[in-house]
Amino acid sequence: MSLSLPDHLSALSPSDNASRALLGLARQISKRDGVSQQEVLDSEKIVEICLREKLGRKDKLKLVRDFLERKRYPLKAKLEKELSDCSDGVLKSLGVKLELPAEFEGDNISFKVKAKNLSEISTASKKILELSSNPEMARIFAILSGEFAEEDSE
Amino acid sequence: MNSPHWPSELLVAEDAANDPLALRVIERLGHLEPEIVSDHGDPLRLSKNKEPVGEQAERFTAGKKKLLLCRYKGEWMRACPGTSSHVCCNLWTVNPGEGCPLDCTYCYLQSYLKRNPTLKIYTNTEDLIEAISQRVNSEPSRYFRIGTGEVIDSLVWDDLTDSSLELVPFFSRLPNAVLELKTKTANISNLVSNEMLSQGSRVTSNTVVSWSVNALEINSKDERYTASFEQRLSAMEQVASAGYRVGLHFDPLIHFKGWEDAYSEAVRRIFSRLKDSDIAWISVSSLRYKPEMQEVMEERFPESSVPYGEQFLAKDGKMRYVQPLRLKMVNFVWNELKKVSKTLPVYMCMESSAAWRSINGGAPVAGEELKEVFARKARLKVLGDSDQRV
Repeated sequence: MSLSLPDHLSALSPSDNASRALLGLARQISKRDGVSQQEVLDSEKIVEICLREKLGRKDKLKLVRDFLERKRYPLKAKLEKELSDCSDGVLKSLGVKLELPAEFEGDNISFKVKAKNLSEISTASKKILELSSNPEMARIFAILSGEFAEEDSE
Repeated sequence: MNSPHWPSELLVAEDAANDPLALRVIERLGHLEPEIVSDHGDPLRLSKNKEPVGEQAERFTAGKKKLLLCRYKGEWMRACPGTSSHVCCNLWTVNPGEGCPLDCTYCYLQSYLKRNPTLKIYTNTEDLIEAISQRVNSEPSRYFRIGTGEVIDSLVWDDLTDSSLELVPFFSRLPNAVLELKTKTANISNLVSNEMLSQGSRVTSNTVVSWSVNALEINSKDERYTASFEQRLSAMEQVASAGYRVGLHFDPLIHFKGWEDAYSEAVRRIFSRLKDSDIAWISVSSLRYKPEMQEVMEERFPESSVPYGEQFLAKDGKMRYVQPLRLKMVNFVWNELKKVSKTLPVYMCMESSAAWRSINGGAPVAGEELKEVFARKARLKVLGDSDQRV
């Protein structure tokens, strides 16, 4: 049985692809949680996003989709948050911007440092050296290799 | 005796009708009236490009009750296709048929055979044996690990076909090949029969009987028509006593609440009944399937929670659990197995180099115990030739 989007979502004029994605996520959440698809799409959070006055329709659709993704994949959401916090921590403490593997696939982490002169290279190399003993950096590698607790995601 | 997974409709291709294997199956399925067909194609073949999910699911389910006996005219022996960007275990495959009457929620055949869902048994066994013989003998310095369980359960029809009575003795005479019979059944009566074992102790030397195993919860909820965990354990014990080595495939690992305890218990129960020296190899791998299978699974198994796990589209184009979870699961089961014995030959099926680095500390060749699984060129002595496997 196919279901259409409720009024508060169709008012945002999503494209066919966007509608399919939202309905697909809602369908899987509803089947997993034993609730109706309508209930998922009518959730308080989604209605609240749709009613925000300062946001454009595209931003609202993105937030709704992000919300449904987090609900559908709670563990992924938890890992994303933890990795993002660690990555922000590294940027804050050492000024090094990290690039993590897309969708956590692989174990290569890239980082970028900029230098305008030799002295800045020297500073940058010290930062890189510090990265090897940085606890947040260590945590990132640990998470990527499967060391994390699952309980909080449920 | 009628098994629950036996077909309700029997079709026989005209040119296969007098093959000994076909005659045997027709006789044993005596309660069915065979229909002779002249067309070699799959009777349920999908001719259009796209089909609604509901119809696709129905057609696949219908295929599980229709058995076609026919001759195979393609290339018998092929390298396992593996999966892109992932480490491959170097298995060769030979398919004595296609499709499986068992019905596991996560079975990849739901997408792989979606266009040709009718069950098939190939009746020209002599061609299969000839193809293996030619290939294996043409490269005497190469070691061939050959499995018959890629698109069919190796033993699911053995009580109808007696194929193992031909294949096992044939392999025992090959100096550089080993046969892997991979199953979720307990159909081992031919393997442990007097007819087989009276051929001498060497007859079992080049055959590994492998079982796909899973947590008991998955076995009871998501593996319809398969043998129970206990039945598989009992079958493992019997084949090991008869002299076969046993393979285990913890595949696919499924994520659910309490998975760690459940898989730990599965390992414990297996090794309370088997010795580590009974084991030829063990693979561990997590759930993976083509994205197009998602809705078919949901449609065919509405009660299952398997489709609603944390699986995403991975680099190889398949749905897999997000990598940290995948590694956590594989690592856990790997360690449970290594607690039994550090030298158990455990490997990962279709996993990334990153996974190997994380779990094994390096490429699969690093472990001496995996030499047999990953050997390509080494000529391995088989049990019976020597006291030591090299």
